[in-house]
Amino acid sequence: MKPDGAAQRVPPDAGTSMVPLPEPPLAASPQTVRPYSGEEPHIAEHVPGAPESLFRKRLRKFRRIKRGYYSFLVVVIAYGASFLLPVLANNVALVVHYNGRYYFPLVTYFPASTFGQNAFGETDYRALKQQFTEARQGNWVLMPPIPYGPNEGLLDLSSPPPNRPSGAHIFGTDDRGRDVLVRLAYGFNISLTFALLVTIFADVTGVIVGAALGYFGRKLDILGQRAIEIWSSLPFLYTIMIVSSIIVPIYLPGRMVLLQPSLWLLVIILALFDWMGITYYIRGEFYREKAKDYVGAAIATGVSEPGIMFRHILPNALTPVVSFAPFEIVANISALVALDFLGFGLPAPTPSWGELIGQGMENLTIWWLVFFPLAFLFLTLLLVVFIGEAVREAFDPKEFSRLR
Amino acid sequence: MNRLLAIRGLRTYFYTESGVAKAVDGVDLDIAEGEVLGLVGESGSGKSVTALSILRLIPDPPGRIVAGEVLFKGRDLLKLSWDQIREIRGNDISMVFQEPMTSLNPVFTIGMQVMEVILAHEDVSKDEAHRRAVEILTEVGIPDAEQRMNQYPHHFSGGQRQRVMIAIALVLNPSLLIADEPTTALDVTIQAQILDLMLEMKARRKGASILLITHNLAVVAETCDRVAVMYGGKIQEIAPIDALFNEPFHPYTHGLLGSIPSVDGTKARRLTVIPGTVPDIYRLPVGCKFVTRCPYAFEPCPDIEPPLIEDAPGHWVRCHLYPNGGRPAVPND
Repeated sequence: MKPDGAAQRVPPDAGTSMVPLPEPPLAASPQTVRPYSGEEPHIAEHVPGAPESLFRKRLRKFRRIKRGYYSFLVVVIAYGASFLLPVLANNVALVVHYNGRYYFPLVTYFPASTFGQNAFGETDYRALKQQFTEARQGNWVLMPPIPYGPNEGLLDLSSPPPNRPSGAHIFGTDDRGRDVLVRLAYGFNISLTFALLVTIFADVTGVIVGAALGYFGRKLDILGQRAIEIWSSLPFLYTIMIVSSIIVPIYLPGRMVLLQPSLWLLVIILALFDWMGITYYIRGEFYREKAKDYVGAAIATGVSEPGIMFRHILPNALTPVVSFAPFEIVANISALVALDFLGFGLPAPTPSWGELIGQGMENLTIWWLVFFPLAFLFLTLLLVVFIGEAVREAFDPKEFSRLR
Repeated sequence: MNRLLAIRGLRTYFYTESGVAKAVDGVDLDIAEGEVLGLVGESGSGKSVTALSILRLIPDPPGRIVAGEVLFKGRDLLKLSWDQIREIRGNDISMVFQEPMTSLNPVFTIGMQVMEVILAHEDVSKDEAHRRAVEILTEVGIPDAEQRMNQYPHHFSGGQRQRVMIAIALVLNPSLLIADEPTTALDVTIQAQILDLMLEMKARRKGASILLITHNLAVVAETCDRVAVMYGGKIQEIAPIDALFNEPFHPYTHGLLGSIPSVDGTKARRLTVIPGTVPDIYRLPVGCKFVTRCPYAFEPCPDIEPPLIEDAPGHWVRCHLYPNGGRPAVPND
């Protein structure tokens, strides 16, 4: 349809046609023409006039904050890599070539007798490798780069555990002869997975509850808030200790396990005590946003109530969720460490930082059990805090708006 | 002319801690098909609340529509279910608000916001909705509509945003457009463009009507066919545009017209002001609502509310000076 009448007669006010005019000379030599500006990458990355959402703008700002951005990259890459740990650090061989056939023990379980080992149960692949190398019959074993498992007690070492850091075990072994580096690496994956899951569950619950309180207000708000206050006044660490100490495996006939201490159970318990904080912020945001004109305009065009709440208001109210998330992750990592340290966390023998720190606490003179777990914990928390700091700054809407 | 909307005895009260505010207290109003009806009055006269009541957009609590009927195409909007009223909103009756700067959701592209109305009311594909959104944006005078669909509200100026709001309001070809002070927040030059645009869009939609709410009599003079003057939650005068400007009946209308400067350059005259201020909404006078400020108030005014009577053909007034259609003793100075 051609724009007729109004469109042609009435010139568009402040149209986009005005924007590209000063652009060519700037774009031609951005470095030479423009005087110094601390915001150089900010201008260079963004094409003027191109549509950019508020979120993209913040993402761009986040990338400009180097410390936070590189911390983010390090954590994301390390976390991604930690999912490859069964291939990187394990006492199970990747590939076994035995009597002309290939075996993949990571995928399928093979008892020791499969490879002619004179033993019951699981194959000792490191021994098998040595055996094959000595026999020289064309059989071979490919082990992961670090051939030690996270739960494997190395009791055949020269001295009784814990063993000092050495070439084979650069962080030493713990008091049950398990490789500290491998356990720390697996523990990183578990800590972060745990913290992310708790954060997601807590935020989803908190956002839904906060949205309902803020949007509907009135009695629901007052009663809901009082209920939240009561719930959050429970001392959560003690409650969790009590809950996790009474949860023991309950077996049903037919070897089904109804309930047992596990990562998921701990995630749910912790999330139950962690969702209240964000509700206050979301509630406040909803109170503020629902009175804004765009909400009224959307209601006047016939958008349904859930549509108003979740499509229109929620994206405008998510800033606190995003900017608190890294700090919640920090808190949840610490919570897991604390619970494991006290022995109420994940069931043994799950590799966990808290358990290792607990060992260090019992053996204060064995420095590698004190130093390495604490260093890992400290570094991880520091990086996540850097991320949080950058996210908060990137989402700060009032960066330049203060008058002097 | 056929009647499109009939408001009968509408009363919208706000129950606040300071008391009951009778924002709209017995409004009768007709809107004919194809007409532009102006609703004027100062702040707090109840004109916006009247408009919001038509679409039941009154915040409850504290507000509530306590009585009346809003007949639209034979249906009483006040008796519909919420699902039914939602179907009317944006589809049959749509609204343009005062503040274009804040009436668009900052996190969505313009295109998404126009398409949302289409998709909310009609069962069409996304491509079809997109095509129609581009079409309506072009129609309201957004250049490069196809590209600008992907832009966000902060890429648009105030006037352009109001164009987008008009596009959103008119994309489904509603029979009635309620414009609540659509130009108040805009520059004077842009104001004229937006008013022209609204009239053009109306002209292209046969039988569509506009209810224009404003406190700007110049805007009324330029755009409306008929005018209703509100004061104290009641309609004080309804008249065709010429009659109102040439021969206003109600002393309040006199006061309003006397307070606008004229630019025809005939003779310099002192602008008159209406003495006093708007009465407290919680303690409106028992009789005529204008009695506290009326220079012609006489014996029955404070105690008896005058009825709205047709003093001349199509010219209704609520004033004791017009007991049965006689001319008032208003001196023309």
